[in-house]
Amino acid sequence: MSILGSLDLNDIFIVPFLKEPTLSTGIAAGAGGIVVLGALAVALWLTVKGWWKPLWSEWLTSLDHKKIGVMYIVLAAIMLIRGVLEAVVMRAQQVSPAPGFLSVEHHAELFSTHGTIMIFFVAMPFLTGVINVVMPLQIGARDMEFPFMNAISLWLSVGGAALVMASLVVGHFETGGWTAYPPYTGIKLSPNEGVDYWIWSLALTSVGTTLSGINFAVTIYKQRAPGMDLMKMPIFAWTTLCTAILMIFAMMPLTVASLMLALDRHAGFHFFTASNGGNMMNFANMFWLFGHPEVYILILPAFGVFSHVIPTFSGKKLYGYTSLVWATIAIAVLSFTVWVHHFFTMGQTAHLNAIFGIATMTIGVPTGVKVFNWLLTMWRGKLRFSTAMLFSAGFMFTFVIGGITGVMLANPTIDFATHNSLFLVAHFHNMLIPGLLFGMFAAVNYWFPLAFGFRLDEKWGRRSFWLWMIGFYLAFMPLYAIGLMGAPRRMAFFTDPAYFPWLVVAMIGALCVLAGLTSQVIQIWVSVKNRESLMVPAGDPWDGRGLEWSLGCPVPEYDFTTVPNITSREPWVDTKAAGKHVMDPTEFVDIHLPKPTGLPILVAGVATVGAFALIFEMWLIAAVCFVAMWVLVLIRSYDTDWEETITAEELREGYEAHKRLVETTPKVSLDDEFTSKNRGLILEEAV
Amino acid sequence: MLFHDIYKRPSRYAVPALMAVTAVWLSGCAENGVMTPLGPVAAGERSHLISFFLWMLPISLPLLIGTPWIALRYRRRGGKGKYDPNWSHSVAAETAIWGGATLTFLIVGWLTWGHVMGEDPYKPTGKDPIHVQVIGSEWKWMFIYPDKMATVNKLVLPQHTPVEFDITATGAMQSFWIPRLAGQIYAMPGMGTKMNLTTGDTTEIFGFNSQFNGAAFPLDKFEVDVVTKDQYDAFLQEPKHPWAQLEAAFKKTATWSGPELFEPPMKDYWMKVMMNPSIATDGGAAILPDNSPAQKDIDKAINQDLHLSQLNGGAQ
Ligand code: HEM
Ligand SMILES: [Cu+2]
Repeated sequence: MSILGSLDLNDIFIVPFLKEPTLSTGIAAGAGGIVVLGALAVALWLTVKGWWKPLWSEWLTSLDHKKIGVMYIVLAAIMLIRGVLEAVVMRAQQVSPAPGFLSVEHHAELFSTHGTIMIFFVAMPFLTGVINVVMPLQIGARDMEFPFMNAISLWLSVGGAALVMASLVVGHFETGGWTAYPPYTGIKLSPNEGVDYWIWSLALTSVGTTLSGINFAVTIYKQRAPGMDLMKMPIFAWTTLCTAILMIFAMMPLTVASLMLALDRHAGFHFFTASNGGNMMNFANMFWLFGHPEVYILILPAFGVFSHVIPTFSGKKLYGYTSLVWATIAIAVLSFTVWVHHFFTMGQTAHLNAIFGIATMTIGVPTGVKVFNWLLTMWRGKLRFSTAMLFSAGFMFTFVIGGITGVMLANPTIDFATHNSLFLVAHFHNMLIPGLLFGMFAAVNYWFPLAFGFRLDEKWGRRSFWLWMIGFYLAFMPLYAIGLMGAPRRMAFFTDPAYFPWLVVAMIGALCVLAGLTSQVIQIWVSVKNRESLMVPAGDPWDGRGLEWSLGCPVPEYDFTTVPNITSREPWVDTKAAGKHVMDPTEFVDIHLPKPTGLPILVAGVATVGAFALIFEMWLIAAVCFVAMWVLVLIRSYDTDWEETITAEELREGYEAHKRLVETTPKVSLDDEFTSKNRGLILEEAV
Repeated sequence: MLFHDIYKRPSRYAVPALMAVTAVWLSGCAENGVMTPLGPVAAGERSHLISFFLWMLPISLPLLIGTPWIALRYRRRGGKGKYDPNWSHSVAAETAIWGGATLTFLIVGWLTWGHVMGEDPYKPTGKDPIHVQVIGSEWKWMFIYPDKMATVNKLVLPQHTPVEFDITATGAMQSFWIPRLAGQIYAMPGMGTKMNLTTGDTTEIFGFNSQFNGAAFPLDKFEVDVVTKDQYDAFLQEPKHPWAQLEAAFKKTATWSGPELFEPPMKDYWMKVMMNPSIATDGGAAILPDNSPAQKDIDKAINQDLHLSQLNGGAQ
């Protein structure tokens, strides 16, 4: 066999189009072309601007949790653009006269990449990024417990995403949906490299996620500021902790199941085949043993975000802290006990179905309680509708609708009638778009100044909110209706004329969402352009309540000049109530931060090449990469010169400088919160 | 002007608007969904669906109404609400929230138990059900009326009669679904599953596979005719093609356009297929290279199917 394995000329994106130009191959070639040209354009732009070097030394090699977080979010944003574009193409396909402009397989590739990307390369990096930026600042930590491992996690996720992008250029992606059930994904029915793309891109990112989970949990256990016992932790730290524990335990079944599938495909095993003792039901079982906790990994961090945004913009204490903490823990525990609801239709006994159906409904209790808590936080507040607050309120309303349909689906007999239909598709988008994306959008709008020192443009932010909100309703409410009219999911085209008007509305909705996304790109652009007038160097631009707002914006590399002593749940509110705008320093001591290093990028790069080699059966190259990866890790293990010191003196200077800045910054009233008068230190009463 | 009026008196417009949407929806519903059931099982599912929706309203409406209401009432500029920045706990509210949520859970949980036990697809829906064996394949369905007949993509059932299906598959996992008669159950190679239902009045509808399984997934459906008992008996007597012809062709062809009625296979054929799916399929790929001959055949079949469905006013 050649060293290039099964790779051949036909796998290159443009070749099938040149051989037989049709609209379907043309779209595939176009998508591949966009990836290639896009990459070239970015490279050219960086070269012209001379930004390669600063990019490398200040970002790509950084082990600073804030920068790693930002890079995660950039990854999520790029992949979100692709995911939404794919969604628009699918919507266009279903409103064009049957059989549409895409072949059935091409459409299948689209829903499979869309689902895989949205879950693994948008949602996961987005929330991991937000946690990275914010969580250490909220608990008074200077960094993650394992900064090097943190960077490895990031670059493994980037590697996985790069493989999904590569599938546009070289070969095909998987066609069995984001769940990739065998035997459809076995070697017999899916002989091309698509499933291997799915397996290995997920393998990379799920190892990254498991490591992130360990990192977050240990950081929260070990790095909290003195005095911050668990019940004084901010809610976002609580939801992060629960998410981290889910990450540690939930990714494993997925990794194992997908590796077993790889063995079936390439080593003649029979884990999931129909004969020789295999059993495909076990794949479904293991996949959802991961999959259900996964949806709570996705949603809990957003719950944390809302628990900070809503009190801040209500000018009021969070209602029911204890209740929220217990609800979070309950959700995390229960999330491991309900996975069977994803295959009520697999023919198990009625008792089993009933028990898992009822177990699923128990999760509705703590989740419902949470929404009431946020509502009661707004009650008797003074609400300011910033972009972040709009996304939070939009979430609360919309999420309840998803909750109603969720409980309906948890009843097995209703599930029999709605499983695999567009009703289900409407339901999970109804949970994920508000419950995940809106949360992350709120987080970015709210915490952006911590990372960059300036606020985001409010006008475009609010526009983006309304477009997303209206777009969501238009795009997905019709799917509930046609789902009940018997429209199955993953269908390339419909011939039933009764569906058509609904699909047109859904198409308009998807375009509306696309406009919302475009507004967000404009928002970033405008904000960067006007950053001078949006700067909030003194920090705390929203009359915030958490420890993170005691810092100047952008937050310096070392985060805290001195680690504060915590005596209450809202130390920053107490400080401000005492008329101070800088927390009293504790002790200045020398601190050690990890030096930047290119090794994480190398390790993940080698792993990615190895994964690519596995996809195209280039066994030799894969083996070399595998060894190289561990050699690189070993090199790091013997490196003793990996820290740099920031002296107590520098920290003291940092503190003094911040104090001077705070003292000279004029305090402004909340009325001017969204104007250029806001240089930080917003106050309820004008001074 | 109109906008202003809507804003002033929303209820005057909301009710007719809701009714209009519902009417449009229900008229569209004449198609193939659970909302227009044609048998007791699907009717049960619809009633569960509606009852669960209604039971969720008491706990959801306070949130759906409360969120916009509180958002308006307590807005910083122009809001009328009182400000109480430290109010963050109330035993009464806590009790109401946890109590209300738990109560809702108890109700829907209780109902679920009843629904699931009452509509267990494994439990016959009446005495002496008709047995039909089902084999889902890439991209067609075989139905065996033991000792009497085998059909492809055509299921004929007598009206108001309990039916029990034994279901398996040969290639990928599929999901056997006739929404207007009963909810779906998976059809899996190497596994047997069961579904029971009772037919309703005579009708011509269709069932399908709802689990994506490759190139001709949109064609993976079958005709369902519910007929009178006499018609059913006559149907079983209709002239049939030899079994051997079906056995050979079923393996090889991806989509089906040939004859529909055949002699029955030997007694335990379904069981044999379940134990060893490869005897009923040649195990070809479910995704095909663009422009391959097999793909071209499927494209042709899709176009033909579209043509037919246009003739039928899109009903298929
Ligand atoms: C932004 C607006 C979005 C639109 C318009 C959209 C649209 C779609 C469409 C048309 C499908 C295919 C439905 C079918 O099977 O026929 C789909 C599937 C899916 N979407 Fe989205 N989507 C959006 C956002 C998201 C987000 C944010 C997520 C998750 C974070 C997501 C996750 C999924 C998943 C998991 C699937 C299932 C893929 C499969 O069948 O395996 N989508 N979406
Ligand atoms: Cu689940």
